[in-house]
Amino acid sequence: MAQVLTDFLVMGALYTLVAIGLSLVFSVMRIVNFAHAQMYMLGAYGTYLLYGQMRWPFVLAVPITAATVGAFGVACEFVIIRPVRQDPARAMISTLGLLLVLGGLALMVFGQNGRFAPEPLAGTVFALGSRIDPFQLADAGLATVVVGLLFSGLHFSRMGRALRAVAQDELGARLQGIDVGLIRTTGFAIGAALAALAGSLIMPLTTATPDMGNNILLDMFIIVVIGGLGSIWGAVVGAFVLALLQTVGVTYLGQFSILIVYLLVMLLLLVRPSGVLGYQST
Amino acid sequence: MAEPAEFAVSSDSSWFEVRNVSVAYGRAAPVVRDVSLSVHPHEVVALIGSNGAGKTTLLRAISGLTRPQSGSVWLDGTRIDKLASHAIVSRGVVQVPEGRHLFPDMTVWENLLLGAHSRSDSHMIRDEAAQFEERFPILRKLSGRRAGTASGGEQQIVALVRALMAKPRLLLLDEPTTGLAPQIVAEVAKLINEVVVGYDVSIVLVEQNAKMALSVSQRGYVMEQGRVTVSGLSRALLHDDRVARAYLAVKSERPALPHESAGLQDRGQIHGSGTN
Amino acid sequence: MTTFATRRILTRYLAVIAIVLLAPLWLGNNAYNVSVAIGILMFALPALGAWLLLNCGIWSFGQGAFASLGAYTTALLLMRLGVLFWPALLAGGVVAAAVSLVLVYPFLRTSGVVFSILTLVGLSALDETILLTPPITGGGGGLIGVPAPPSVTVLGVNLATETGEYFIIALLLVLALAAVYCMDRAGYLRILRASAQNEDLAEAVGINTRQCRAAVFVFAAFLTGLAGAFSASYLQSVQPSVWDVFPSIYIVAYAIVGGVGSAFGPLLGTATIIFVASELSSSSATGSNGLLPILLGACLAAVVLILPGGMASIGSGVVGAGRRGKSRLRRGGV
Repeated sequence: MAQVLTDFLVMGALYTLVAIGLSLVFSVMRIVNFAHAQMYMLGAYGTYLLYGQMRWPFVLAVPITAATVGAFGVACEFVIIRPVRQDPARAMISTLGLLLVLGGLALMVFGQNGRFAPEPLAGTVFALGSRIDPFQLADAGLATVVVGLLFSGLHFSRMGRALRAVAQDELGARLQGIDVGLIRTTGFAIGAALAALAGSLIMPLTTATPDMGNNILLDMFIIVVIGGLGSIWGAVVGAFVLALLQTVGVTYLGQFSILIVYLLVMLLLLVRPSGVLGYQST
Repeated sequence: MAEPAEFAVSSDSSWFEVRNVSVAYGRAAPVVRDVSLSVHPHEVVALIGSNGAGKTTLLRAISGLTRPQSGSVWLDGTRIDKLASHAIVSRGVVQVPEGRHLFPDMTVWENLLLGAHSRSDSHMIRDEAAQFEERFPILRKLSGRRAGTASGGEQQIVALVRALMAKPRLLLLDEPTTGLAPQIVAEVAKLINEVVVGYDVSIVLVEQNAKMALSVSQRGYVMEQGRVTVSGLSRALLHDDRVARAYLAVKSERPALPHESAGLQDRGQIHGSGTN
Repeated sequence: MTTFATRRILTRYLAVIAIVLLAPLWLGNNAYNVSVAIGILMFALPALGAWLLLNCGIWSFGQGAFASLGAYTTALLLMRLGVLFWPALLAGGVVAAAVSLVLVYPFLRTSGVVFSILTLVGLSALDETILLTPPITGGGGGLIGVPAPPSVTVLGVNLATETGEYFIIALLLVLALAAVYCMDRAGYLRILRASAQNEDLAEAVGINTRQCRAAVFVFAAFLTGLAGAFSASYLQSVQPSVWDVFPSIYIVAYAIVGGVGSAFGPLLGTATIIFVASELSSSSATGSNGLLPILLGACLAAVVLILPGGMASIGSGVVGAGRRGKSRLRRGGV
């Protein structure tokens, strides 16, 4: 029971990181970044290399990986999105291409087999009458802290306000002297870094595989659909709802619950396309 | 810019100048054709005309939201038309756009703070915002509310103060009274006067409500179909026949009928107006 | 359209059809080559469906669902009910089309990103259902031992051989192209494109856009179902992974890369990518070493950034209508 709960917390927290990143990108750029999931995968491999192979301390490897992937995301944005930003459809196909290329490269460079790394926190903890992996709790806690920092940054800093402004009214934002291009790039960088952070944190708990990004692609879309594209709070809610169904649901209801999730999401999309909480998509 | 005596105004090189600006969207016909206007320090200049005359497009071009096809825009001797929109705001040219474009899901207070985004002296911002709330009590009342829930008139005041937070030198107001009730229009007019008197700022006031605009400004320009057709001192324009018939007699936003604007066009030539 | 223009279009279609049908001549008896060619056509057929959808402004990333439906239907008919090959094949397509008919109106009420995500979720729901019903579908392992096409000789070719199977899928593709040609000739394609560009205008001149798009959706599902049905017999097995999320994405990508403006775009795109990928790698299975997605992704980016008309627009005088590809892409509805 405690194990399932821990799984739920970790999954929910990490899903939140990735989903917020995706929502953030959408809210400032108004495009769906298909390649977002690959930033998660790159984060995992980055941490595998720095922490697993080069034996850097985990607490060092993770932020460096996240920052690097964030920067890489910005580079991608410059090359493949900026030129076609005027046209959301073309921009999204660009990101689709990036999704494929990054996945293929990962497969070619690392091969199909998963890469392992040991968990940085050893030992077990007792809670609710059973053993729990402390690293999982640390992961969930860390992710929560980051999300908290993000929220306070968005609400109390100049840059955060500017980000929200661009998301709400681009014209108004321009006229207040906000450099919208800079905000977009920043939003993209933060989004990519968040996804990479999630990948880094989960890496020791599982393996780094080339298709780990592909595997969460659909989950990410489901989350932003439930919460509404562009809504940060919605991403949090959606992430935990999905995580709940995938952990608790699967444990007690079996594989059936996954099918139920899909069917419910389809119903939701057909009946209420703007999601439960969020803005309308483009 | 040769003008006959009755509308004469000082025409030496001005503090803010739009020189022969034309703006078109893509390959379509130009929406703004060869427009020139000038603004002096501490002046309120009215830009009137009916829907579709090109006034908003001209303001967008000045603010850098769209690029002029030809012509240039100058502020205090520096050319600003090739700058990015945020750089133009830093130079002190701030627009309150049509429809105000407040940030609906942020509080009024946050909207005010954002007005000052372009300034580097960020530690002063909160104090100044507080001062504005003192000066305009309605702001204090609205301070914590989401901007999207305020009424039209309230939003207009918020938008105006938000623009003032940027410490502007030139304010571009795009149709601040459109859609507002007459009492609110009067309040906004009063506010504009207060702003000019109390702050070191010039204003370009774009309006369909010509009467209000001309009574609040020193000089005015009339735009029709992308061109400036008449210009001069506001009080002269207020009493001018053609302007009166086309823009002052009718209260509603009725665009000028063909024979009316044709008439103005003709006379405009004689009175040496805008095709400079 | 002038008779000269119509004759030119007809000539192009006939030329492409001829190439498809005569390809085995130069592929020779090399079973590997033929199998690559079969793989190409097997994906080009759904890609043609996706192409039609794109021209309506519909972005379906879940076409694999219809292929899976066709595959499982045909497999079950062949294995469990002993149905003959051709009827079973056709049934696969029909079942896919029938399912699409049920879904089409509710689905098409949504638009853009929502619709695309809906197709992805729908596909996943189908896959999940397959996994949950092992008695019928064989679950994750799928169905093994699906009968191959019958060992009859038609026009000197044994249908059970690699070359014979090539001709089966080639026939399906040729028939599909012929149907598209008829649509083109009747001006139907132009109507679809026009209504995708400006739905209000199209409605104003009496075009029932909903019906048109629905019809295309069902037809595309039929074509995709046929391809899936064929795959069941050709591979002699059916698994959910063959027509999964990524193959479904590839299907749309092939159409884009080939050129949305030309009916030969899907075939061109599929053929080029799969051919190059198989040449550069030693295995013939698509994507098992990452080369195919890299190639496809790079071409997608290239199309978006440099060559909006896709491959078909290279030397646009040759294959034609590539220049329209750019606006087509932009009106892609997402």
